Amino acid sequence: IPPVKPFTFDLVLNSVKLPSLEDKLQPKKTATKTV
Amino acid sequence: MTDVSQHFEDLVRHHNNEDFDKALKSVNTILKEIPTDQKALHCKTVCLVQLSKFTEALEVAKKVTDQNSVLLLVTYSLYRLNRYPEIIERLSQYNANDLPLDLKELKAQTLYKLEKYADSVDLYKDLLKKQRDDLDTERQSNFLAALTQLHATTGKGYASVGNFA
Repeated sequence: IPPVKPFTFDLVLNSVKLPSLEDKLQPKKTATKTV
Repeated sequence: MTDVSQHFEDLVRHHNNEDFDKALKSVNTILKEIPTDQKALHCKTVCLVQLSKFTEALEVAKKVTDQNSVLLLVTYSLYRLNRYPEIIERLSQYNANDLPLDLKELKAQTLYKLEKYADSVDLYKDLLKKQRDDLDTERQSNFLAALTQLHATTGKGYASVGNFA
């Protein structure tokens, strides 16, 4: 019987993220105070 | 707000909710208007990877001009398609020390699949020194699996465990 290769975790999917989209999104409006 | 920026807003919202089918629809709408938008192509590749559509992800990633920006997505897709030697070839452009941590993690997993246990053990040792996130327990398990296989195939390995086990 061949030895069983130990199970390993796939940790890379955790690093799959969207790129920065700052240039594509509307800047968040900030509250302004009227004096 | 332009239509396109609204679609990017939708894309981010769906992605953050892990609703990748809807995120893909949003990005497809953007690409219908601007077929060569680089950020949209990158985002579409992310969505396809998250949906486990790896062959399609590779096709879309080819359209991204800055291939370095999608290297993790491309190599991870190759990993899930069991195309391990191609991953090693693509990552050979980096010195081992210069490899970003996410790609180093992928290389360690790939070397394990290729039964190059000594190299995999070395990379995991390095990752366990540098990477500190909530996956360290799983990372240590991977390291021990590589070490176990190194010992099983060569009789070596356990003496190098040091402080990691």
